[in-house]
Amino acid sequence: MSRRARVVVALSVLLMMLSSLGAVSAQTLKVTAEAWYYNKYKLEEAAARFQEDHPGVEFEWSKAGDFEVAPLMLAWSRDRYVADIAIVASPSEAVAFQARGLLHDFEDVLVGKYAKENWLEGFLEQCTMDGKVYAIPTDAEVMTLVGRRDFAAEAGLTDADGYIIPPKDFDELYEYLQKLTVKDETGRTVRYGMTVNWSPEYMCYAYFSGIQAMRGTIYDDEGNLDFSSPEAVELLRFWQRGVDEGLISTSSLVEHSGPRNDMQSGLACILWEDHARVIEIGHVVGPENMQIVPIPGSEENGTVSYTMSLMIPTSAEHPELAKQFVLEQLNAEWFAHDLMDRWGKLLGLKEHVEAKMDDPIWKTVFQLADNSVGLPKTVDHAKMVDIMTAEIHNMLKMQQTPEETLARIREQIAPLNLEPLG
Amino acid sequence: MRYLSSNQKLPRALLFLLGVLVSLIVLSPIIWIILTSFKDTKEIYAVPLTVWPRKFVWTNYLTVINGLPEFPIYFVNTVKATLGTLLLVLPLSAAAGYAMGRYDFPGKTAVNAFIIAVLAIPYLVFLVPIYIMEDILGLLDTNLGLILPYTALNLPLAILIMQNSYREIPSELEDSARIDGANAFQTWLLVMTPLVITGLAAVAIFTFVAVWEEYMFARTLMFSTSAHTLSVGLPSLQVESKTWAYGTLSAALALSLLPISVVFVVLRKYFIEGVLRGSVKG
Amino acid sequence: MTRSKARQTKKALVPWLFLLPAVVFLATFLLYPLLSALRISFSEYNFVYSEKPVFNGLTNYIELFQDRHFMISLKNTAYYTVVFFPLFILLALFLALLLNSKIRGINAFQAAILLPIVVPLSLAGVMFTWIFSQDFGILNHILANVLHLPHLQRFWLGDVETAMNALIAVGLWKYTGFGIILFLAGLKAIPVELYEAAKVDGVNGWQNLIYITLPNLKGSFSLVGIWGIIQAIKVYDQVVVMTNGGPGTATSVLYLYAWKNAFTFFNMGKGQAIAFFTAVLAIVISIVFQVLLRPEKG
Repeated sequence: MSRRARVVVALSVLLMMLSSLGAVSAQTLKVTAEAWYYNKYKLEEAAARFQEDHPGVEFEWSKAGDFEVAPLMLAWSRDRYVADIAIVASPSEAVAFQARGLLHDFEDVLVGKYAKENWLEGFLEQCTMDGKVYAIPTDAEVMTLVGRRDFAAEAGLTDADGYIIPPKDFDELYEYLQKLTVKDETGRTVRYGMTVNWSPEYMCYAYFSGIQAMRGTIYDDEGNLDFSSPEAVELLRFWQRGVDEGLISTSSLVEHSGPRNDMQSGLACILWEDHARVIEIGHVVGPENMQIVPIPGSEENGTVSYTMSLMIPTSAEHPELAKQFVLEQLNAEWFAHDLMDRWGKLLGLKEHVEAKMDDPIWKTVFQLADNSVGLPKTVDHAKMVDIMTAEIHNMLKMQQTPEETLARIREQIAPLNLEPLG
Repeated sequence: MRYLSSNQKLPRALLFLLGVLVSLIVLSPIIWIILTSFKDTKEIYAVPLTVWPRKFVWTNYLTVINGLPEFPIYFVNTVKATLGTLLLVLPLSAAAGYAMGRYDFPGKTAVNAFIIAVLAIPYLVFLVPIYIMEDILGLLDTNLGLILPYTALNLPLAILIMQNSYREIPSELEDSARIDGANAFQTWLLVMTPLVITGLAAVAIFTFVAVWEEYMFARTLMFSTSAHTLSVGLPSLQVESKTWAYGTLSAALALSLLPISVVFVVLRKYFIEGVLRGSVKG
Repeated sequence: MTRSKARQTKKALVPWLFLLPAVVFLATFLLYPLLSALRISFSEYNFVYSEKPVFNGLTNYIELFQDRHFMISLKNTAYYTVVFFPLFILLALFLALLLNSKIRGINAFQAAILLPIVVPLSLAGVMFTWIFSQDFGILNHILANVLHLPHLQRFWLGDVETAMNALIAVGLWKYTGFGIILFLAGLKAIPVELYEAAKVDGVNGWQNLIYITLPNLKGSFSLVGIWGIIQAIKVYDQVVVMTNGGPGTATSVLYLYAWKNAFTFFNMGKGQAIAFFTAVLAIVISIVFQVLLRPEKG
């Protein structure tokens, strides 16, 4: 070996030692999520608290555009996107990654305090694929109605304590809407009885929560997602008639946040979206004016729930540390209660909800969550949502009858791959 | 109007009024945004609406500057993409245009045919393959990942314009440079290129406009807010967490339109020239 | 190799050296993508689930015409084009004539009327979303409280009948300036002598417009027309920002549906097939237009 070669070898050994030292002393957790997540979740505080317990851990945040996660996930699906923790829209999207072996499972850490039986069952099940938990629920939501108690009181729909009396069925709900709606002398609605979130992000959940509440299942007799039962026709007819008669706002047809704005500005009395809005809207119109109203039938038949999920890609450099951060801070009591109080969003551990059971809102939410189902994870889920959104919007705009709408949906989803995965 | 007799006083006054009216209509969306940006949230959502702010407040601008860390990032990304593309398009098109405009050589017809053909193809066709390519090369979500395709997409037209510009120069100038002993590179850079500054300006302007407002590629190839440009980033402020923040959004819009509007008003002549030469591209 | 041959090779080499950097760019980012795009459009390729593209012949193209949503997008794009095109030409011509006149303040008018050229279409979309808003929008406010025509108020972006027209309005606001510039160039190119000769003959203003100005603008019409039609076929930015194809399928257009197929449904093959279909459509229409409005020789 020449002298020069020896120097090179010595130098490179030194460099390797140095770099491995560096790796031990500074561990950086890379977290990526949609931008809005950073505004609602106290991630930085969670990081600071984690750093107290684990000195030397650094954090690197990256934000994806709101509702623009698809390109990010595409990159990820090619195993080209490096993150330790990724927070994505729903586990149904994660199933593709699991199928390609791109996710770490959480089985080894779900013990003791975090054992599977301590989580809200429906949500954890949505994160389970092939019998293993590959994601941790965060921002878990139950589809329900939330109502304005003050408006309902004006219309005489409240009990002695001022709570809205839950309507027994959709016919009674329709009567509620007629009583709650206010029109001016020209016949133009100035206050809607209801506003429903039919935006692409919610369409699927809104529709199937109605089906589940009416029938106790989201599947038809042949085991396919239900687009044919008499109840499906009834639900669509309820929506269409409500829109046609000016009882239901269609603001969600253009804007995802339309229904929330309707509620916050007092333009609508009942919102059909997720339970979290009861808190969020309460901050604007006064919490004493807000209440959860179960979708008719959902107390026996259940409703639909969904959750965002925290995942750890196999490309993660520090998967074990990431798991610790997820459990220790992103599921800590302070974190969970902060979210519940400010935004009404749920995390997965039961104890955090149980601590708030004396609040009627959380009691109802807990019952609904316990009795809720998730939507199946399928390859062509996004395509199905697109078809449903298009056809149901067309129906709401009086372009077609409920029966035609369902027939067109059935026809278009026929070639899709909607076999439940995992 | 030239076809109207210029001595008629009445039509002239009418035309003037018409000009004022049309200008106001065209500018009204921008004026509305600026007015909105000075209202507080309560007033923005007031029923009935107010047109002129009851009270001018700066809070929306302060929110953008202090509370919207994305905004300067979008701005810087947009400037980077624009400057980066210009830095590549200008020398590349000048060099290529010189070769195409002043030389005859084997393969020239093929290159020319390709350029003309590519000009007719909508960008959409290139989106998926470029996405897949950048995915493989690790260029997604990086500034370079926008600059490279923008350069390629704007090059064909730029070459065409530069080719015509160089062709119009009388050949005596080139010959005398050669006789003075300048090599091809020197002739191109020092003798010929100073004569095609208007062509370069036109290329710069239409490339600038194209990159500044590009939406589809920027939306697809960039997915982190840290990589987004203004045209993609600002619309995304409309959603989820940012509801009820139209005041902030208006202020951000006003701030992002201000510099470009000033540049446009000052350099209008060049913009018109750039658009004119750039209109060959569909 | 003889000396002269070497010199000849060297001479051919010089232009290629100048061309090389640009050619590398064009080959890497346009030619190669174009070829690979062709391959993708003939393949079954789910970007998330498929390992690699699998050749499936013309299936993607055939499936397009059995796809309801695609046919609706095609129809909507046609509607957009048919409404946008004449309005674009008329507005651009009218405003070009206005800006070509010698009136006071013409520079200010020109700056104002052409300003939308530099406003990104997506940002224009944001501005107009707000203007068209049902409850907080200035348009409905003006209709109801200034013009006292409350029955004309609409849910502009939420109604099937008005949503597409609202998008067309935004397209016109943004693009008319380009048409004006092209027409202005055409107007400036008309020889002044023609008008002077007409003046001697006692021709009035309107006759000037019809017999001199318009016939001499034939080339500009062809240019503006092709440009306008292609902008219409390519409509995308403001659709994404303002309606994303809704309500229902009322504003779904070809570019949007292609994008959705590729990047929302991960079906790259079908998205690419729609892209090629759109490209062929644009090219055929511009050729037809060029042939129709070809200026007579001589």
